[in-house]
Amino acid sequence: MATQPIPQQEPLEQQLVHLVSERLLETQPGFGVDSNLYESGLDSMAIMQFLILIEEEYGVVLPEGELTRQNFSTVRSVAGLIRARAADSMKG
Amino acid sequence: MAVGATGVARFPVRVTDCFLLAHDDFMQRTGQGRHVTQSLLELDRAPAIDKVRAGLLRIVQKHPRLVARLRRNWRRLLPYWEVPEPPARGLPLGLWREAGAPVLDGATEIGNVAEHLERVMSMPLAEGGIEFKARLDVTALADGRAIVSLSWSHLLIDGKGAELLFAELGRLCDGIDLPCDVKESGPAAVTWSEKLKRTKAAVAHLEDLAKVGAPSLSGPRPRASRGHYWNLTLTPEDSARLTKRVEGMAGALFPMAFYVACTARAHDRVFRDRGREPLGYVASVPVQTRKRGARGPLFHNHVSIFFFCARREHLGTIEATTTAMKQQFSDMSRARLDESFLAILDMMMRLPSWLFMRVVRWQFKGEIASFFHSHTGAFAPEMVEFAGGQITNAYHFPCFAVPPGTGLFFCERGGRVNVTLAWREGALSDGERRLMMEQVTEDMFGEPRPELLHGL
Repeated sequence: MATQPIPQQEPLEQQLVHLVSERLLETQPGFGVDSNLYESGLDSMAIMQFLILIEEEYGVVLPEGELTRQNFSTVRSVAGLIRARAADSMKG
Repeated sequence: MAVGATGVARFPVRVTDCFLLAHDDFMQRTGQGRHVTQSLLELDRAPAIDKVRAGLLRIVQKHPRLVARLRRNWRRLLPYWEVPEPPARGLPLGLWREAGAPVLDGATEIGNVAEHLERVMSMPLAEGGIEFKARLDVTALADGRAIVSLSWSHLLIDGKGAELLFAELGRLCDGIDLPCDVKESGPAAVTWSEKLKRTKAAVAHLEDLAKVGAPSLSGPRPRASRGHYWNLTLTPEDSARLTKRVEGMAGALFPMAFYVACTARAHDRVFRDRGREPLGYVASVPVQTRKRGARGPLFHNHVSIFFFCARREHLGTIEATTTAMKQQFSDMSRARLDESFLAILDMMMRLPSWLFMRVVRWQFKGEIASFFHSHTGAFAPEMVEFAGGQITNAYHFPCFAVPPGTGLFFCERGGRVNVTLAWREGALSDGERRLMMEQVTEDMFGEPRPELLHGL
């Protein structure tokens, strides 16, 4: 599993936007960090694929307790989770 | 799509289409009709029939694949679709009215609505020598509402594709023409040894499942039979209560684990009532390979299969079964079993349908799976109305063969959960249907809810 340093604010969000658009969802023009992922078609299978992609790309395993609808509602909220988890790992 | 000198276009079948082709062929050969599923919209009033007729004509002109004919290339062995010039007529339309319903010009009066919908579903799609792949039926109800049912061939359309096709038809009824096909990447050039390597994870998984077996309520012997359907629509309050309970067990993001568990336990209840306690059950659950959120692709089967296994030790409580199914979902996703299973189908594409089905059934000693199941989430959430009628509910009546002869299907529309029980004649007795749904509703709410089973 690749473990990459988590980039600063903008790049991570943008990377996730690209990841979602290219690998998970057929996003509409204007899709961005604050677009609602469920309205864009996110379902159980896509979320599982998203979790696996996050593990593969960033080496971050999101804990069960963080897997809420709210936390997966936008790219921005997912990026926040990844950053928080990566920071926890570095402290640990 | 290649266009020949005659103007007839050809396009290849996709990997999963071959499985559905074999299933359709199996149903025909064993007197079970065709593999035609029905998707239903409930409207607050009858749609404007002139708009519907215009939409049905436009959709054939825009998507001539709706009249495609299946052919097989005997040199390359692969089946392919041949698309003639679209005819100057629309998809077949049936108009029906319940006694006492408002007048619907040209409509034929019917008796029992549920029986009528089942009859419509088994009507041939071909008309006037044209091999249509879908038909539409509008049934006006006595209380002023209406049901619009799209019957479609699984050879070329899958469940999500049917929802997208319904949405496309709705737009065309209103004269709105938007692009709705997604550019698909062609199959990657992969060597046979690489293909073989990709199959290994799914082959190992299926071998493990074969040790448990996939007992079905119909038993493995195919027999001529008709499909029957019963749909339960929960109130918004019950749906919210169920959603909360599902989230408590499966987590907010993976409700499918709960619904697979619920289906397995419901089947187990009937097996135990018959005095049998099999080692476990194998559930065949389709997983979408489409990118979510697009208006297409409308055609072909864009699914792979996850084979869940509910073992005896998992089946004690709905909580334990859900936990086991959730773990399997995670394990199968990580092992990319969806891709691995597609690699198996890819290697089987050239088999004639009868042999294809024999291979499918060989693993489980004549069975295909213990039951069929899907949780398809929100039904066409982008649709609000259809040809002037507001959509008040929507769900599918999925069609499949004996074996396995039974299936439970879940979807949502407008904050209400639909539970559809589908069974083939002879697979379930009247009492067993009730027993199965008693278990489903008890697992959904944590207490018996017999009042929900009125009319079953």
